[in-house]
Amino acid sequence: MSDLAIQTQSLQKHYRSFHAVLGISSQGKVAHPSLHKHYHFLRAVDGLDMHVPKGSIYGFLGRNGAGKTTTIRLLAGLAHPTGGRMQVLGLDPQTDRIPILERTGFVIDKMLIPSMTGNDLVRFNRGFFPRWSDALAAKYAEVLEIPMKQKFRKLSTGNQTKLCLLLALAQGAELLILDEPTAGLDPVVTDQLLRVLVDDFANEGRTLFLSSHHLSEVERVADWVGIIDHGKLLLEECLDDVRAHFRRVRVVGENLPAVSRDQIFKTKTSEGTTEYIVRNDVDGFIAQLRSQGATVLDVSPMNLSEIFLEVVGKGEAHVPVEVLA
Amino acid sequence: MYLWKYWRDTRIIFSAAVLVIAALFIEILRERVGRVADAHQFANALPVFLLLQSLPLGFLGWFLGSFGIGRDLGEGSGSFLCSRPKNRSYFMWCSWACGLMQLLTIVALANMVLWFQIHRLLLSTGDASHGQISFPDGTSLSLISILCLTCAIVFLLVALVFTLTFSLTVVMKNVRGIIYGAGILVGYMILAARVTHYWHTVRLPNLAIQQFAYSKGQVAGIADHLGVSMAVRLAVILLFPFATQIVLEKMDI
Repeated sequence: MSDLAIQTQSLQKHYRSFHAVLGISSQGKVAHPSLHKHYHFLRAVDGLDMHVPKGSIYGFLGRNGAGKTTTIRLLAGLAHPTGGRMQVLGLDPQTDRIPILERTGFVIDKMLIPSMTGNDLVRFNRGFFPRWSDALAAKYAEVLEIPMKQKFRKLSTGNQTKLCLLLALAQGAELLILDEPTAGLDPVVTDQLLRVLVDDFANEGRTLFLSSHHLSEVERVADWVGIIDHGKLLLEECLDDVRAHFRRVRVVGENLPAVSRDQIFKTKTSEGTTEYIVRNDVDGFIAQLRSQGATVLDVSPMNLSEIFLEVVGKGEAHVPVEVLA
Repeated sequence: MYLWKYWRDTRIIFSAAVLVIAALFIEILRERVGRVADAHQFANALPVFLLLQSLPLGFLGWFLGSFGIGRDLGEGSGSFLCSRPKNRSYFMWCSWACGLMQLLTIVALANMVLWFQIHRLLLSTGDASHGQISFPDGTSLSLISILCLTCAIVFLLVALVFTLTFSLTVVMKNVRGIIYGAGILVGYMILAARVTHYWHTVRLPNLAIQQFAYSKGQVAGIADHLGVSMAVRLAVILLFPFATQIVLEKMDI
């Protein structure tokens, strides 16, 4: 049996959009009545190779529009892939959708049925899942302080999210896939949700996959991270390894190694100083630099926010990490 | 599960329709039955009865067609529903079948009320024809047969309107399907009228099945090929949900 809860191989999802543009002259008048028509391909997911170990808390990180939600929709069988393969709990979402959905809780759009109250939604949802637990539903309604008699459309954003989570948790899923669960929530609610997810769900050996761009939250709960940008997974590693191995090394010297080596993630040169982002074996790399006559100015550890910025190629902008967190 | 949800969404419309029919029935009971001079008048009145109920019931079918999975997709609940462990077609067929059952109930109730009134009027004539309605061409049908026939004809029309709107609402993933549904129906009627205007011999199939044949402006009897017309209509009605199912299964939600 596979040790992976989710696996994708070269997964692709391309959207085709049709553009019709009128020919406009420099004076702002329509030059030709004809339309210029062309198709544009948006590569929402572009050859994604992802491996989510069973029992892990996997933080799926990416900027807005990086392809996180599309990937989750593909895993849920809501969208059809353009190419590639994927497996959820060892099953193919295209052919085994129902067994996957029986064992997996998805929280994607955070929009349930607007006209139903929390209690109605529990009643509605109960019939779909063989392992549904009314006791768990009642417990989370109390713990998360959800007004279950109010219609979904009248609930606050925080309570709507909490209700979505309640339904996913009470279905007795082995795997929970959440798309930006804390987006738009205040810190108290965020803390409440993360506690429930980690203490009640993940600590029982079940797999939690959450996408987010709130790096501090992911850093707090996740043990694996995957960073996606422009539909490609740029980094996938155990978070402890990422923290332990990623180092920023600033060096002065001549004939320094180029970026092609596997262990060097990135190189930047400015004002005579070269900065390396080294992803593993930093000691060996420093020894090599010194043997070439270089002077190592400093070696500093990196937090997840800094690593994220370097990985998605925005490290030059020096965005304060607090902004992202 | 989903049937319960569909019932929750439509129960007010269904109950309102049943209440209107009940009010009509009470009104009929309160009315004193006048004397009808000639039992043949019933035959002439039948197409009028058909038209009278087709318009409000067609409107009801059009409105009910906008409920179900299409409306849910439009309201943004699609990803929630379609991540329940059921086939997408389950949600579609459930709402389609439940909507049709509601319409069938309403059509049957409305026709029973009309049948009751005709029965009373028939009795007032002395019922010389023993519960039979005679047509000028000599054919005669029992009141029960006419009730069943009218019920089936009206239901097929209402079901066609319902199914068209339902399918468009799903395909468009939006309640706007109700507008497109109406547009297509009106457009078809205009097209049929224009075709007949320019090519006198060409007639596009009528939306409402011609239940009775007309001769010199009079209702002559049961139309030829009525069974064929009904079978074709039924096939068209079933074609829509099957096509919608294919679209829904291939759709990205």
